[in-house]
Amino acid sequence: MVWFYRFFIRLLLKSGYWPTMDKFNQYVAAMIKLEKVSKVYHLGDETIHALRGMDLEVTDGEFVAIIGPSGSGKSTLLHIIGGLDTPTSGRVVVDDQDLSQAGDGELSRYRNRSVGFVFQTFELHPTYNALENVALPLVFSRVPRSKRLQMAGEALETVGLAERANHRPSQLSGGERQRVSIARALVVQPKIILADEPTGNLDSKTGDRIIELLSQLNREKGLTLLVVTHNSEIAEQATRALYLRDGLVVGERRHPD
Amino acid sequence: MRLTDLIGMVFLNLWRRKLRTALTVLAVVIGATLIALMVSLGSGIESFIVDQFGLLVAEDSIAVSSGGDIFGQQGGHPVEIDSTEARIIEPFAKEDLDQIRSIEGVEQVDFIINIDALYISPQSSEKIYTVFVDTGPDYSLKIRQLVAGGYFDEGATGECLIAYGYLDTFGWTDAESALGRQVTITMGKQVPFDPQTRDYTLTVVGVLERTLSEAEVLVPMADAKEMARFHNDTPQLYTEEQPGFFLQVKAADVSLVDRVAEDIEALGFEAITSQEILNQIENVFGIIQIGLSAFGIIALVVASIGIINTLIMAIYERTREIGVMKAMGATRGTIRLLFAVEGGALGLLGGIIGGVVALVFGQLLNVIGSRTFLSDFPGFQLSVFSPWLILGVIALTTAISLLAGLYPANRAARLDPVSALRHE
Repeated sequence: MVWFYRFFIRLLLKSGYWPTMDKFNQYVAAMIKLEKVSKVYHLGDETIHALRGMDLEVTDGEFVAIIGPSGSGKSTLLHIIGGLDTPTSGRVVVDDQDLSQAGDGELSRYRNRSVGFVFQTFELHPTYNALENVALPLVFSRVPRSKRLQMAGEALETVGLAERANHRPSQLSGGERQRVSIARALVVQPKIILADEPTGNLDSKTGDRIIELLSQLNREKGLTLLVVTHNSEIAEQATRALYLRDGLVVGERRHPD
Repeated sequence: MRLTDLIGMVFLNLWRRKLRTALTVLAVVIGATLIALMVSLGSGIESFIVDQFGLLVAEDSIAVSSGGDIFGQQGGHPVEIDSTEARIIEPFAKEDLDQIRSIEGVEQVDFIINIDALYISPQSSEKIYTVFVDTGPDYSLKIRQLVAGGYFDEGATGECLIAYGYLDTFGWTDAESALGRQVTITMGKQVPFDPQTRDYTLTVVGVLERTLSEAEVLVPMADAKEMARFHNDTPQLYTEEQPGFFLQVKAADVSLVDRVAEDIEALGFEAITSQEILNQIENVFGIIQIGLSAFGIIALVVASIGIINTLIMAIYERTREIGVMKAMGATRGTIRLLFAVEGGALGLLGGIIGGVVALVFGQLLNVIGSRTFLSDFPGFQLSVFSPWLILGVIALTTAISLLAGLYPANRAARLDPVSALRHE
């Protein structure tokens, strides 16, 4: 009978259903894993290949800078990892969730609980004050108001803006607004922060402070951080820099720790 | 998303665009006001007519006619007639009277007497006036309210009750002063080329309360018979042998009315109860109310197009915000709900304001009416509001706007988050 079991196990291994230890380790260790991810979209008559079969792995706690000219697919990459967009083909697994198979409900839940977004133009609600802006993601996970505002207060403290809690975005400086936006990304206690040109609308000095804040969150809280940027300062600070061109990773530089 | 958060967010968004919200709501207010006001006027006038009817007709009486289609057809298309019986309507005979009297629950059967008087003139005056002379058995005369004097006895002759309207017409100062005065009613002949007339002088013993028929004189049965016999040149009219075409039957109790009417109809006569007449009045007013409300409904349809427009504008303006909300974990369902409820909220506000405006207008009409053209009918409400009417209008406007909000809400829900975030 032993021969039968051996044969059966070999069959399973060949078929690919059996997770080899090798693959299993990869899944466990990788916070973000992309396999042959392509994204094609149409703009009028034009067909745009934003990503062309990209493979990528990011481990827990990494700080990755994504650099490339416009149209290289870096924003698309960030949106796919953030569950805002779905790949045309390929597989995306983030924090053990297969995003390529997920529907709107699962993706919304994923965006709500697992990732925090930081935008170039902050995207704060003009009629809410800083505290209410930070609390917004918790509205969608049905956290009661008092609890929500308490959590938002703590997040604002983390970014050093506790005393500006009652100010509206229009009463805050650009740097402060971006801090509010970071606090909003932090409030759901995500494992990953995704930032799209976070210093793009700030002067270099303020931008440096934002980079410092993000990098500090990465070091001290162990947050996995992906930043799309043109800013070479960020590339310097990151543990890894990825260079994208035409939807593919064309270069990679690891920080000499 | 929690309900309180949903409501808070919806009203905050409406508040952010105050003027636009106000204008959109205004359109709903117009529709809601029209509907509420029209329905309230309809019910006010209906209850007035029903009340008036109650003052004129005893609820335990049944009007009975000897044949089917008494009033015949007028105009319209030619219709084939299937039997001569349908055209020639026989008056009641003595046997018919006996049959009806023998029905269980019938207390009394009286003739309905039609009197076509030419005119009336007050004592020592040359002036003549129009008049409608009516009579009836004691029980149905006594439901009429008097402002002065009393009723005549059932067997009386030469007495009458006059409508309140004659006091002014005759130049009599008040109701008390009319009592004991004499009026002369002049009868002509049914056949127009017979110029004979006859005068009947009657003493006023009572003055009737104001009603819709203000040119009315009630006379005792015996006088009425005399007048009708002279008018028709038929001395035997309104006797057991010639009861005429119409009878008034009194049921022993109100609860027996329907059964008695059925039994009468089983004998081959037409019977109509006061309840049936009231039902018909209600039906007619139901149709009138719907007809009047049609303008309000049209206004609401236009308003809901305004709501769709407003929401599409709002989606356009808030596209990035929608993108951000999706990035923060709002599902398509949440976004859809947010905009649908925003539409519903516009309708709710419009319904509430419209209800209040209609209520105020209605009361205003009541006040103006009671001081001017309705001053003769104290207590009559031109516009009658029930809480259900207001709640119904609010529910209607909310439901219509919620429906109107569904299309824009679906558009918002389907927005692709990535392109929403890129929207300028």
